[in-house]
Amino acid sequence: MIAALLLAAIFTDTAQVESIATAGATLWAATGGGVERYDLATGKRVRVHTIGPTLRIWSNDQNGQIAHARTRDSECILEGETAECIAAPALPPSIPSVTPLFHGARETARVVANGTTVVATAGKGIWSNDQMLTPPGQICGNYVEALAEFQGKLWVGGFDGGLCVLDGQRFRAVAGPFRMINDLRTTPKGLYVASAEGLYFTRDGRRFRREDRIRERAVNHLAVGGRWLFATTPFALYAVRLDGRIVKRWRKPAGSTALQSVAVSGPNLWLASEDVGVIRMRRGRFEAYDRAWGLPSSWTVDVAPASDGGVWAATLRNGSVHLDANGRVIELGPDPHAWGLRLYQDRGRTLFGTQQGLEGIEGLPDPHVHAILRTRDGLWIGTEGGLVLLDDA
Amino acid sequence: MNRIATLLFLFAAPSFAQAQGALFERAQTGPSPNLRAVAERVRVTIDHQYAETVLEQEFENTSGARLEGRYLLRTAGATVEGFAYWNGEQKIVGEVFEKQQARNLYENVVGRRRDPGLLEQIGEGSFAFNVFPIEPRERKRVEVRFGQRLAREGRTMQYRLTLGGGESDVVAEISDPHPILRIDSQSHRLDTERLDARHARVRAFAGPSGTRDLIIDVEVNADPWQPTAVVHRDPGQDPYLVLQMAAPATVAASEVSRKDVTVVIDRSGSMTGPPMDQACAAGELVVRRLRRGDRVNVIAFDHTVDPLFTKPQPVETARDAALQFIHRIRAGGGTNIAAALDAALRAQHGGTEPHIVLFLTDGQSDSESALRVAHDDRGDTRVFTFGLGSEVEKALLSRLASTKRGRFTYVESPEVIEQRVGRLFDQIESPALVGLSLEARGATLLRTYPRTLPDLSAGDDLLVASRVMGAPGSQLELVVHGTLGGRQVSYPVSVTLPERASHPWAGRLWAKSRIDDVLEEMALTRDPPNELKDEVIELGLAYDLVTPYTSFLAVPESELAGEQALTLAQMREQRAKVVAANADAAALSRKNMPPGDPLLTVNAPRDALQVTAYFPFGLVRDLKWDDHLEKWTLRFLVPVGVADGDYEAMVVIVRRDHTIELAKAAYTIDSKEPEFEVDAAQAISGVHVRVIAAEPARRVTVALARDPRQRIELAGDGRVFEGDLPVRGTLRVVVADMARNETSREVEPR
Repeated sequence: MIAALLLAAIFTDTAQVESIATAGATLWAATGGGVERYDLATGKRVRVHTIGPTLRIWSNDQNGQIAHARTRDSECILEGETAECIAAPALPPSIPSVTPLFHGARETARVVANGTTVVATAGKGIWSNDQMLTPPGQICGNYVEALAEFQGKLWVGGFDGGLCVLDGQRFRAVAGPFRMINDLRTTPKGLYVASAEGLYFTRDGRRFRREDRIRERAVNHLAVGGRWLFATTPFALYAVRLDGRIVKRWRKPAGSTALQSVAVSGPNLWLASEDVGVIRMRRGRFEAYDRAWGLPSSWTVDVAPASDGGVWAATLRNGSVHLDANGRVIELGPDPHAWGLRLYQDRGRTLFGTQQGLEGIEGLPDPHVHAILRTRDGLWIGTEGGLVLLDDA
Repeated sequence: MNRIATLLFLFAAPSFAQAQGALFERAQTGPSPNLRAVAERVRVTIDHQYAETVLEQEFENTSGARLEGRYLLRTAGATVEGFAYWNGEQKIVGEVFEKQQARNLYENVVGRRRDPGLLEQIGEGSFAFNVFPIEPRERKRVEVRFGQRLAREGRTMQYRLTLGGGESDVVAEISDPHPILRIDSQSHRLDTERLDARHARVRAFAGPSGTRDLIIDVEVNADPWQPTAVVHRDPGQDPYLVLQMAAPATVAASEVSRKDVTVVIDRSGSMTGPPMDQACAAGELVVRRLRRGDRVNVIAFDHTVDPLFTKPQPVETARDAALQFIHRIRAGGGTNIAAALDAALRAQHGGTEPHIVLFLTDGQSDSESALRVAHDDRGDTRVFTFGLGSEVEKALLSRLASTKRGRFTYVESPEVIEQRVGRLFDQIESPALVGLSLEARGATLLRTYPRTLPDLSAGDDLLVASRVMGAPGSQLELVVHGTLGGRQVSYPVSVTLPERASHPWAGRLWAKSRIDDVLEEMALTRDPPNELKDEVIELGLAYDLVTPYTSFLAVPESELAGEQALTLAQMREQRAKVVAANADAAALSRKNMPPGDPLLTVNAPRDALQVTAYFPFGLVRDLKWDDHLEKWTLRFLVPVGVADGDYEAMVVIVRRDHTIELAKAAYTIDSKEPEFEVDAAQAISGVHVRVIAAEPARRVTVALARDPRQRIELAGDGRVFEGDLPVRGTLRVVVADMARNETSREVEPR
């Protein structure tokens, strides 16, 4: 269990505005990065309540101090600096409509308040009298799928928001020929980006070269072992020598057509698959360990090296499991009902990010933990509702 | 004279479909030195042998003068599905309207600063529209979309397109129900990306010879004679069915049927000269190519009928007589097609071998009588008609052929008579699968085309298009019956009628067949009722098809005066009513998305103003354009805790011309573990295991619990699985359903 942790910082993106509400000179905005409160008189953002992706906001308080908000599965009361949320049924679907574009983004709301015309957009933030109120330099999307440290900075890969880098306290979007990022991996040569659009490499963080020898487009995970970068697509495992000279391919390892992840542990390479469980590659031969073998599920989503040369595997709905180097089940994770997402080796222990959170950590903007990375600043945790830095020194 | 689109492509014998688009100066007949092809972008989607092509071409006016251009698209059997042109960066997209209305608006607007575009059919497989103005040094972009069916010869189909010149960017996406064995090109270098066994993406690069003809050959691993069925359906509508079956490229001699062939030659006065000479040469060609065991007869006719024999005679003894008879035919007299046809149909033997009539004429005749003769004939004679020259009664000959299992071939000039007859004879001289019929069980087929099924020779390819009446979930069993080498054979294929399925081209293919049939009916009827023309217009509007009564009109709305804008709005309103009445046709422009796929992809124009998805759990997201997939895409995840069931996300598409489409993305949440029964019995050689799954299962694995390396995957039909494992001890049985949910149980063999 991770103890005595402090949330040092939370980074969210509030450019996706779903709805707004005004009360006097106060503007409330329900965004993908939580609820914002603005002072229309000054045009400044006063507060962000990182309660997760928020879909609706309303306020009956003329003083602008209290608002109600709906996320996907909770209703929250926001007052002052606090937000209290309780579980609530799912919202009904929105009625499809055609709305104008505003600065290139779909307009989601428009009100006149406090003498100004306020326009909310899906992707370009909030505008007041044609001036943008939403602060710039935000993270490139709330759904953080991958993290890496490169050139001394934190790089963030978004589920559908592309790539950005944390420069000081602001994020800078990095233009690249990809949008849906699955993994990032730093090597001595540079940074690799595994995306739905392919595998890309950059030395300088500005120009990206596609690794065309990866035949399939969707590259979902990366691992580095020795002189090799390993990459998985659903159908194949690739090994790319770090000098770029050799690429090897293994199609449908152990018969899997749904590879998800790869990890190097000792002399073995381990793969997570949705269909045949955990796969071990040793001396070029593949062997699968599935539910028939004794795993809690054949549907595995991630693997991370274990100290004994074996592997920890995260399953989709049945927690985690530790196999030794010979594939024997050594132990099961503490929660057999956890919906696994990401495993991460951190200081001799295995952190298990799930759809229900990361054990021992409260206050995450969203419970779905997709990315974990340790840097000198602390432990970074990427969720579907933003990026969090834990100071666990 | 009415221009009637032929039904030839429906019975397509193996032949490649080719298309070519080019921009000329309007006043000139050939390529202009002032209009240079700069670049073109070709996107082809081949789905179940149907190729949809989006051809975007850019031309430059290299002169110092303003030009007026005329864009010509020549296709061989392709259907134009859309066109557009650009004024600068503004794309003007064509819409289908009733032809006269479109022309009226066009005439009203033309002559202003920028002309609209009116795409009309100008001949067999030829379409054109004017482009004005093309300013000095301006680069003009045009886009045409067309669809064509690629006949399969054995295992191979071929796509052809004549490129216009300039820099070419060609990408083809190929899907087939059979595994794709080979994709290559004689003309271009290909870069092939195999997405899976049945799906590939190909980029074509010009070869060293710089040939302009793009040829892509695709070979699939298909069993001979095995039919495939494709269903398209929009929710709540009757589905469309396309059934296809390809003969092998070669058939064994034992499978080739003997045949009776009667050559009927028109010797009326209008045939005097080259037509007569060529027709006779063609007849002689056919007689010479008949094989041992075949029988032959020749009939010459004008207003009277002269047969050589009362019935076909063995070619071994009759060939010389037949050749001499043809040689002595002289032109003169009138034309009585009905009498000649009647004589040919009566002069047949009984028996199961195919009876073939080749009918060559250039004339017009009493349609009703001829059709009555064909309808009244109870025999199974195949009639292949050849219509020579521009005055021939095409509709009649086409209908005669389709009524009698044959094909109609239009021969535009005498010089090619022999070639066309020879080519057809190549296809029919070795009939292999004869006497075809199609049986349907489990649902009802309506308005099926062709009206009769032709015989199939080596390399032939059968296409049947139909509407189907059947509830979603019902199983449609189709069986093609016939005779092969004297044996009765049956080739079944079954398809489950889905709630929804997305192959919109199947609907267009059927609609085109229906339009052709109605046009033919109109041509054959003395005073055709207005309902027939109205039906053609409605089908053209609903399915975006150019017909003799509908055209594509692209109007730069900025050029419209108030009244013209009102007229256009009224035309759109009328079209919307027709589309709404043919709701399934409107849905053809929607593309469904695969259920359960976390990547939502939507086919919508690149320049659409808005593509937004509305999810059932309250999420609203805009899709983004993916340059590689050339679709709009969005990744989404269904939240944990959403109950099992079927869901839909609605997608709003706002096109650049502000027309709106609504699409649906269906997905299914299934998290329930599968239930099953298992019986494990010890046998001499080990354990026999039988598993019955409560729902369709993807895989059943049985392993020895103490040593799971000893295992077997049971074979089964999706519900019942069985197998033997040479072990003793407790077994672990794992069942995985189609959604990859798993259940396991440990059992002790009894």
